[in-house]
Amino acid sequence: MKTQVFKSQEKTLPFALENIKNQIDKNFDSYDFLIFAISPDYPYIDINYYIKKVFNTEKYLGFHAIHSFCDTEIVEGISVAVIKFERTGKVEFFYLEDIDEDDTVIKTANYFNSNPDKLHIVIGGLGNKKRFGTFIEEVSQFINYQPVNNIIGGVSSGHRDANGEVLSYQFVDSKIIKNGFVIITLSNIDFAIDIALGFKPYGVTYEIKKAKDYKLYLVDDNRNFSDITRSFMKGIDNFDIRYLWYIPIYILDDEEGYVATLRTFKKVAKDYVEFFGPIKEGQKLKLSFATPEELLKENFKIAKKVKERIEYCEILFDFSCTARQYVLEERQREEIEIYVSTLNSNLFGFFTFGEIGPDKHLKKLKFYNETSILLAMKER
Amino acid sequence: MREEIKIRLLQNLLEEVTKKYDSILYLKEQKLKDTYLMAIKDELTGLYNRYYLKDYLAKLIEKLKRNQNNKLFLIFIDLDNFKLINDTYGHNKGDNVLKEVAEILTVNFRKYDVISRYGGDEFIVLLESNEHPTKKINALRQKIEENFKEFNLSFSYGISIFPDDIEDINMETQEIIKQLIEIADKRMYEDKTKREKVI
Repeated sequence: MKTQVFKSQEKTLPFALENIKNQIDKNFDSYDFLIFAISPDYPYIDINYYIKKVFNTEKYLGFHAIHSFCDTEIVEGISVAVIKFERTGKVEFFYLEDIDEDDTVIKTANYFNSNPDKLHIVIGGLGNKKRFGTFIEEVSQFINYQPVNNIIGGVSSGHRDANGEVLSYQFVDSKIIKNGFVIITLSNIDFAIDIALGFKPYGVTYEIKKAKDYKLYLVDDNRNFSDITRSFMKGIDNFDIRYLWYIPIYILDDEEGYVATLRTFKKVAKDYVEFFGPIKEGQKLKLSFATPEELLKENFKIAKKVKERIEYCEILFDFSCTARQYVLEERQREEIEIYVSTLNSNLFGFFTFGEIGPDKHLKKLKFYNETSILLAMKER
Repeated sequence: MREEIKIRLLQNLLEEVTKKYDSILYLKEQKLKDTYLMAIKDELTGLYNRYYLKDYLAKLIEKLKRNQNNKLFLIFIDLDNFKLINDTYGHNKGDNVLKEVAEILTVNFRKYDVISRYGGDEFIVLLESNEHPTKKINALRQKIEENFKEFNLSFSYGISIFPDDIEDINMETQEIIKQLIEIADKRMYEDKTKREKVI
C-alpha cells in the first residue's frame, strides 16, 4: 500500500483542493481512495462539488475537523490521506444518513456482523435527538462476534455556524451527512490499535443518582452535580468551559473500558452538567487530572506497544480528542511526533469530539473522551 | 495564565474533596452514634435496655468495690394491673401507658440515675446514693396511681443494695449483678403479695 498525507491551508476551498491535487499528482499516478479532513471554516455546501470537480473521483470520504494531522503538523485547513493499494487491499464505504431512524442500530450491527474480518474506521457526527456516543453503545449490544478489535473511529469536530448548525458533517457519495456516519471498511489489511489516556483519578467518589443520555443531574445525597461543578469554577475570571477539560470526570465502575472511561465537560446548566459522552445512573466517578507530560508519556507507551505488535506500518491514524489536545497546550505537536518517530510512518488524523474503540476484553464497543486512539496499518 | 487557572481549579477541587470528606466523616459518626443508641435504648420507651443496664451495673460495681463511701440501690419496679389495660384497651393503649410511665420515671429521678426497661412492664433503676430511696419510691408510686387512676395502675417494687446485700463483694461482678437483681425481684414479689392481701 502506498500512502501519503498532504495538506493545504489556502483560504478558499477550490484553492486548497487544487493545491493538494498538485501535490498528489507529483507523487501518485493513481490512487484507490482519498480521506479529507476539512476545516468547518470552508463552506460545507460546496465540498462535494469541488472535490469531484478538482479530483474527478467518487472514491473519497470527507468530514469536518477543526484541526487535522498531516504527519507531524497540525493543520487548520485540509489534510488528505491518499491510499493506493499495491497487493490485495480493498476499500468500501458504508453510510447511514440519520441515526434517529428506528432501524439504524440493527442495520449498523448487521453490517459489522457481516464483515467481522475487516477493519472498520467509523467517522460520525455529534447526533441530533440521539447522540452518537449513545448510538455506538447501542450498536455494541448487537455485535455478535469476538474479538471486537476491528472497529475504531472518532466524531467529526466542528463549530456552530451563523445559522446555529454545529458543523460536524461527513461528505460521501455526493451527499452531506448531517446526522449519520460513514464507515471506511478495509479488507486484507493488517493493523494494530491502542488507546492512550494518561489522566489519573483524584479525590472522593461520587455515585451517579440521576442521569440521562449525556446529562448528569444528581450524585449521592441528591447533590446537584451542577453546583459541585460550579464550585470548581470559583475565583476564575471570564470562565471558559474548556478550563474544565483539565479535570474530566473519571468513571470508576466501568471495568470494561480499554482505558478508564473519561467524560469531558460540555456545558454547565442550572440543573445538570452535560458531557461529550453517555452518563449512566449507578456509575461511580471521581475527578481526574493530568499534566501534558503524563499524557505524552502515555502516547509514547502505546506507540511502543503498537510497534511491537505490527513491526512496521504503511500509515498511521490518530483520533485525538479536542479536549486532550487542549490539555496538551503548546505541546500538542509532540503527540503526533511521538507516533511518527516511534513507528516511522506517515500520519493522518484529526481533533475529535469523542473516540470509538473496543473495550478492555474486546467484547464490546466503547465511546471514549479525552483519549488518543492510534491505528497502524499495512496491506497484506 | 493557564498555570494560574489550573492551580485555582485544583485548589477548588481540593476544597470540594475536603468538604465531601468532612461530610462523609460526619455521616459515619452520626451512623455510629445512631447504631450505638439503637443498641442501648429500648425502642418503645427510649429508656436504656437490659444490656446497657447490665453493662453499666458492672462498671458501677467495679467502681464501688474500690470506693465504698457510696451505696448502689437497685430498684426493681413491676407495674400492677398493666395486663388488664392491654386486655381491655389493646396493645396500642398499653404501649402509650408504658411510654408515659417511662416519662414519669425520667422526670422523677436524677439525670445521672440509670433508668431501664428490663422486660414487658418491668423497670430497673440504679441509684448511687447514701440515702435509702424508699420515701422517694413511695412518692413516685402515688404519682403513678394518681396519673393512671382510671386504669387502677400502680406498681410493686423491691430494692437491693450493694454492698449491704452481698456477702462477699470480691466475688465475680457478673455473679454480684445476678444476685442483686434476684434479691430486688424477690423483694418486689413480696411487696406485690403484701399489697394484694391488703386489697
